[in-house]
Amino acid sequence: MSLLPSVLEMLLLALAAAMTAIAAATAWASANVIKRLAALFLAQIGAGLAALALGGPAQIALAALAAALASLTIGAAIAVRMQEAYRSIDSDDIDEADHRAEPAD
Amino acid sequence: MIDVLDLARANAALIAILAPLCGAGLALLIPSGRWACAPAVLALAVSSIAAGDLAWRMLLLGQAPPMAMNGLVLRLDGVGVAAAALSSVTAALIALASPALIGPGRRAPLAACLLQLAAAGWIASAFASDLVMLFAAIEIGMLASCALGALGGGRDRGALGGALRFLINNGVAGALMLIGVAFVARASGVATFDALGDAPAPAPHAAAIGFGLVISALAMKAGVAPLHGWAGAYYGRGGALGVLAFAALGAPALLAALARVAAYAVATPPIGEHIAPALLALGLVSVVIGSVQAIGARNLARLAAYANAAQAGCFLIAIAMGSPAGFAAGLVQILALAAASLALLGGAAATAHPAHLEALDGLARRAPFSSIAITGGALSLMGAPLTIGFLARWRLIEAGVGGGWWWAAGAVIVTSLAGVFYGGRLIERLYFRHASTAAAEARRDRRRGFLAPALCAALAAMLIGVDPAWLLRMLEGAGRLLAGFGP
Repeated sequence: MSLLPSVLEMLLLALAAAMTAIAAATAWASANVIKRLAALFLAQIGAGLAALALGGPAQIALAALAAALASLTIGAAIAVRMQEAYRSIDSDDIDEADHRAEPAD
Repeated sequence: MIDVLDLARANAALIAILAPLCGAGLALLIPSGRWACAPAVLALAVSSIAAGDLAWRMLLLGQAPPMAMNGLVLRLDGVGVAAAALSSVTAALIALASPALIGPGRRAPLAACLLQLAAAGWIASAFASDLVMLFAAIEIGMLASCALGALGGGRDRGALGGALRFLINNGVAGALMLIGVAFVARASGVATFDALGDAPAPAPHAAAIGFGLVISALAMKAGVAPLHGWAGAYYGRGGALGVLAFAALGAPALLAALARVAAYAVATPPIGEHIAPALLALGLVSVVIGSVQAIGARNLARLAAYANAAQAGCFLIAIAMGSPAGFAAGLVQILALAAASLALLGGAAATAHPAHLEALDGLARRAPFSSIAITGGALSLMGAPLTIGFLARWRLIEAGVGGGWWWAAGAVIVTSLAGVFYGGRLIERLYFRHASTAAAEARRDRRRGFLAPALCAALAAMLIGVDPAWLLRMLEGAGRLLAGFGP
């Protein structure tokens, strides 16, 4: 049984998969907290689009959107608190400050 | 009265989920202070009674699931029912201890609300009827746990970094899970647990990819090594309540969800021949990495995180076997993980959440009750005879040897030897050393009243091996139900 009968579906799946992968890598690797959160949001939206392109249930898009928005909300609250506590939203500065307070195992 | 009771018992699963949701709303109505935890305790007690009664009837008495719920919105299978009972009871115990962990002030109502939201999410995941609902329920539990951990940023700003790592990891894992669900649905034509067992899987390789992605995502969320890069920061610096809630409540619930998903994958030959070896490999890696990291840990909460990774590895090996005995052994391992986490972290939190292991030196003289709780958790991690940890490892060895997986016994032995080292080190520090700093000398059992849940967990962990027959019967029943795809 063919998974992807149309060229349009293949294109959408490829774009969504690329969006998810690039955004996920940015979320992990970026130094700026805001960029990480934005990338995470895009990764989750991209995953929802990829799931729709694969023919997943329609509820999947709603679940992906809800999860992305909820993550963004909580992430924004954390970012605000980080700015207040560290006076910075750069992950390297924050990790350095945490390492001075308590070295990792 | 009897009709009301019958109605309640017929809808026990729904009550188990809705009670903490209602309690979460009530908690926000209380302006501040530790009294905000009262609705949480009440709601989670109701949830525990409902879920516990359901587990008793289905797993011990062998009754069919109540027709009102089964197959409609919720699905009542063996592992789900056992996991829901465990989650609700653990959440109720944590709620009892929460006034001491939260402290007074405006954060208390929010913390009580988030604890109940997390509990509702984990309980709902145990009863999810399809993969999309499973995803949604798990996201509720994870996001509430993240926010709960971040609340600790009021006392220690390092909690914020840990919560951010937790959030990023959860988001990426969630994205993987969504794609995996879509692959499964596309390849099998269905996404509900009821239909998955009957679906012929016309595209088994695609279905295997889908199940692999879903299982990987759940493993990332649960903190299975080597996918647990976030765990050190979250456990090490997170708020006491958030860390305790995730370690004792969230991680076991995620592993139970993984068991439910894996049951369908492993039991279908064209899919299982790909999934079972992957589970096995991941389990072995997690055992080794988790054990090594736990040996080297200098922070008690991080030690708990890495020990949990090692125990999760044993769990993955158990379910990779695909047999009812394997699933039952996996369920005992989940119970051991929950009990050890609650005892260890609950006892430590009662003495104001010590950061480094040096803070435990000589603690037995100054804080005897906390030390008893920590000792119970340590003995379970070591796999000392009569403890739940020993029972879990023994059942895994039995299941492995019975299925011809002799090397599974080797993995258990590695875990146990490492557990003897890092668990024994904790006991040695508690009872055979003197405090090395003035700060450590100042630690006492400040919150004795709220140590009761941790002590209950410690006693259960230490003594359940005395008469485990009823527990084993219940979990074996759950394993058989799961392996047979339902009652």
